[in-house]
Amino acid sequence: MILLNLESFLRVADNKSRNNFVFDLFKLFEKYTLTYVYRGIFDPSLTDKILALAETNMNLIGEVSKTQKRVYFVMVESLQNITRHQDISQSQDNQALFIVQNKDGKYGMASGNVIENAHIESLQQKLDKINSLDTDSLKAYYKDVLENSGLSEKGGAGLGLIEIARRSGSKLYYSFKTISDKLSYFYFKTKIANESDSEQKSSLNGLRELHQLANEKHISMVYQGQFTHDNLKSLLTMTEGSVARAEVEFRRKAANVMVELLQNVCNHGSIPSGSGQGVPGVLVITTEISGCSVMAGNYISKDKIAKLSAKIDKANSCAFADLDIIYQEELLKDQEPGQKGAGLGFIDMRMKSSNKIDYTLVDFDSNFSFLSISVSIPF
Amino acid sequence: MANEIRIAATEDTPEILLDDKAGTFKISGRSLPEDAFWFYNPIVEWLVGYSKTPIANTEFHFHLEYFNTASAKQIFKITNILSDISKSNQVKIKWHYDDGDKDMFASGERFSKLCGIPFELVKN
Repeated sequence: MILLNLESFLRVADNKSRNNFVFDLFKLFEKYTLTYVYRGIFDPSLTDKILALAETNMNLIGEVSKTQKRVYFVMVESLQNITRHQDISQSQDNQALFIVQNKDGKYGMASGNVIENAHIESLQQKLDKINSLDTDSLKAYYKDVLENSGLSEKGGAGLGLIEIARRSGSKLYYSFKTISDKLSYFYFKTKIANESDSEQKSSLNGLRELHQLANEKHISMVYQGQFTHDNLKSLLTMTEGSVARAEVEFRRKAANVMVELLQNVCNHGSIPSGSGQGVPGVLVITTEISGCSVMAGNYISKDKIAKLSAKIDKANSCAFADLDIIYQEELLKDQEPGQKGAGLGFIDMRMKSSNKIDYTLVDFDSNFSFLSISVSIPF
Repeated sequence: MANEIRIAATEDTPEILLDDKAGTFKISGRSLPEDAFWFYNPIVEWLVGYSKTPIANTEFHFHLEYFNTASAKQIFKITNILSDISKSNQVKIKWHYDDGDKDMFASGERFSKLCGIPFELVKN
């Protein structure tokens, strides 16, 4: 998670369309083995969904159960730290960030959230104390805190950080970045792996930059990894939690668009190298004042491009009022044998979004291109 | 022909209740299976069988939260079978939509127009 080139990445991303931005994010995530980034207001129901997705994905890749339990535990504690301490009055720009990294089965968890400057000193003392202790002293310290302290005003017993250190077997890496005389960002990282100390420290810098990128691009969520029909359901429930709108119509539109986009990835996406349990790809959700954008990116075999472009172009070139007609035409057609979809996906997405579907193809090699599709849904 | 089909809802498939003895016909929940044909085929076949000896008044309820386009094609098949039954027997289709869900309302109107029987659009 060392994002040293992030500044140039940002510059490049600004000059290109939104969809090259999707490919750039995909490459960035691949390079730094990030699995997902979530930015927003964290509440218990959302953390449940994040955990459920992590569980599905670890099962998908057949992660050993001991690692699964440790990852799960450290995630729970890290997320609870955010939900307890995040400043919920925070503006759109100060939203908390949560990141999971998986590098060949070595997991890292990182977070960034706003805290009050008044709490920095005691937090820093606690972190330093934990970091100074070896395994046995940590155990004794845990017992001591358990017996001697009640619940803090935020509802924590003060044991979370100690437990993270014990379960992960890792030092706790942290840094602060001042926002104002009252508030700062608190960045925190731990791992269940054997990364060296210097790698850990530089990845903290990367975390700060990634947070900035997520703020500037209004990113709510990025998931990079395998797409299967199974984890699609977890992604969907997780994203539903991230759509910060209560209106049933908007939520269903967003869910519908996600399902169509991700089922397209599963059905038509390609695996250019090696073999995987699913199709490699990226899902990005951004939230702005005007609405949400759902973007998906995946590799596609070049021989499928003509047919795909024709479908999107047809949906895009149709006047909004006539979409119903071409929807009905497609509905009346018999499904070809072996046809995976109904041929209605893009028409449906365009109807739901009331905007044109934005798509880009980037040449990858002689056989494959990288396809990014972006659908925006107005509030 | 079996007398009834009962399928419990899952994360991505709806609850199905088709019971001609009790006179209950209902599809409810979310429908976004990857292979909609596979999921709906037994239902379509059951309905084709049922259409040969339907009860006097068939009241069919669709109460969907949302459905993917793959399911749309299968739902259309079901409404067409119901339309066939309506030529000889009473058929009433109640299409439920949640208050504020304009898309589900519009889908009901669309299916109604396509299969040629008026739906009762029920706001919940």
